[in-house]
Amino acid sequence: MISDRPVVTGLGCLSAGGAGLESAWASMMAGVVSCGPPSRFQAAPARQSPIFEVSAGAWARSRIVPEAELPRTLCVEFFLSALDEALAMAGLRVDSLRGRRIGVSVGTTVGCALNDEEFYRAFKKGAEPDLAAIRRFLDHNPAPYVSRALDLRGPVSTINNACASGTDAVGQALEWIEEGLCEIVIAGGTDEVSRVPYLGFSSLLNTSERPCRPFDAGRDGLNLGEGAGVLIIEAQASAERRGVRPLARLGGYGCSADAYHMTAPHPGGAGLERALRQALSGRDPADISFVNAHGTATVLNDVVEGTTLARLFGSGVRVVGTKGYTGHALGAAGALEAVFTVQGLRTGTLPATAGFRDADPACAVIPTREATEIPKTYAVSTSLAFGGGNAAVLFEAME
Amino acid sequence: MNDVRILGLGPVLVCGQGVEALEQALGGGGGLPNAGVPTDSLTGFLPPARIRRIDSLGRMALLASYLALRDAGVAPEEACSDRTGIVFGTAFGPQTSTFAYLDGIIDAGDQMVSSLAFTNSVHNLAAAQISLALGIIGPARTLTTFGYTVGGSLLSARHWIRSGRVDRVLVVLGEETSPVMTYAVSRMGGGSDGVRPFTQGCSYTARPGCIALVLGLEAKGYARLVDVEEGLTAAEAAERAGQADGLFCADSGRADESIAYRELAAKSLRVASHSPLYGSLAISLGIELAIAALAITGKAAVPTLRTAAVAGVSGPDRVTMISIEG
Repeated sequence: MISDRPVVTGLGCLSAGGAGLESAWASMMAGVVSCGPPSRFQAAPARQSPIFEVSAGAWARSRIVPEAELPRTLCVEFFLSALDEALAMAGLRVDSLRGRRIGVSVGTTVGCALNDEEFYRAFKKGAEPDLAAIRRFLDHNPAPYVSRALDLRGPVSTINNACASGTDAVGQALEWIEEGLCEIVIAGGTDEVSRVPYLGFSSLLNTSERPCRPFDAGRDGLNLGEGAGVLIIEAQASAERRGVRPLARLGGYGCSADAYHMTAPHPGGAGLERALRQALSGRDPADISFVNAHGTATVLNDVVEGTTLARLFGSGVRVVGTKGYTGHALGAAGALEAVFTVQGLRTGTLPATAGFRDADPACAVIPTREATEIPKTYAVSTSLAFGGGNAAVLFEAME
Repeated sequence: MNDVRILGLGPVLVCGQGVEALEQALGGGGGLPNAGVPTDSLTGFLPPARIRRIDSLGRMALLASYLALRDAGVAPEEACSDRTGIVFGTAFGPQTSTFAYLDGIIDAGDQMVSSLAFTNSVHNLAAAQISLALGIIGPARTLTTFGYTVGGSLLSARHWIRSGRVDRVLVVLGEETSPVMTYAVSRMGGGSDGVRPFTQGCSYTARPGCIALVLGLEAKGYARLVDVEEGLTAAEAAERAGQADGLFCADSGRADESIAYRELAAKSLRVASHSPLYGSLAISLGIELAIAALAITGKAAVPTLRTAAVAGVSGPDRVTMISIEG
């Protein structure tokens, strides 16, 4: 049933780690960590945690949408900004896309939630608030927004698989290409931090008051982040016809449910292992170059993930965690990490895992301590989610 | 190409629960009940202690799932496998839990936020509830794409089945209502006196509801899923509709939507929309698909059809078209 093999022809990203891939990668390779208290909102949870905000003014608004129609949510603005970069890298002009059968697959959590606090406060008071917040919600679901803004005709899908949304959105692009539904997919994830998730994660007591420390023995929780990652996923035949050299091959995708607990991962990592094995599609685990781990820096996640990776790939498997640079960007996390995974394969390098210092034997793996050279074979990016979701995407270096 | 078929249906709607109740509603021609969707009968499938902490959208989704599996002749223990997948589609997500969580922030303050309310407000929790209750450990995905939700859900399910990833997929589509939605609908010109498809003006009348479909490869069930096409122009969709024996429109009564459906219906011999029975829901394309499947098997009180097209307007000049046949 496979219509064509998907490849990656464009990448774009925006996070606290940097605006644009080159900037973000250079910053990460230099070990720069930039987090702090929230600047756009005030909140007083029991546990204050720094966040990884995209700094105002540090990124360029997209020119895809005319000035008068500029998006009014940060989620969509972040995505469009990263999309600018990805389309340019893929050699795709916006006006060449209009009316074409091009898919849009976006992961998000905040971006499709009807939870405008200001509106709801007014509503609760019986103030009969203006519907601007509702209209903004209806108009700014990320995938339909992008499809409409670019006048595309392909499949459109916003995935909300909680923290695995971005990875699943990239995986869905693979499915669409394999099914022959379209030859090009704009895939990725986007999210913004607001009081709503900030207070919610704090209530779960899984945020850290310090910059997060993935896989470290002293880790005590995550920091929220925000931003967007975009990948242009394209049928190989389409890339060849356009004369574009792919950046990597999107070689596999797996997802699974734990059926174990609403917020805790399966202790044996059985679901994650199923997702990984499916993504591997029969490849030899020994050939893997590295895993870009979910690595939230919560006590449970890193143990389950680390032991699963060690069991499948061996305890010496090269692991990197990038949330020490971006924070946990929720629906954008998997997409940002997919972008970084491809970049690692392209450059043959990996950054140090920011925040990691002391190995935790319970995690069974030791992530990168410093910027590292790696073989250009294949790499996997993993995500675990609320509700027991697991997802993994596999990228292969191009010869 | 392997034929994916609709093997079972699980309607949980204001007009009734289960296939027989839906058939009766289709035949009865009654008005739109001004009520919620009771989920008490979930206790026939799960012990009350297991249900207690499940939010209202999750309960509807679970009940619809159990009913659809039973209708498909799949025992819960048979579904409990990595060979079953779950796709949950919702445009607005768990509204009750979302606003309960916001109530907590506003009423109790930043330091007293309920972690349970926050957890239940996450859109994919209904899929997780289905997975947990039924022991399903295959792929699970939640889509929240407004007018594209149903088409996308079916495309995911079809791929997983065709690729051999799973044997069957539970496609569960559900929406809740809330005081906020009622207020917004009212301000936007909708009302509470019933949906009037294909008419001018807004008659959007929100109701909660859920429909589950079991898709698989067995040569039985209701109908073959011939195609799912997204992003069609109205002209392209009208052409597809004209080739089918009947056209089912997911007209929820929005003014712009009803105009588009009239254009689509112009080339069709038999046109229907059943939203006056179940109300306005963003996932009504899935409900019309279920009714079309009943019509294919002669179980609905509409003429028996050999082929059917089911249309959903997903944006300006953008139509999702699902084609099925017996």
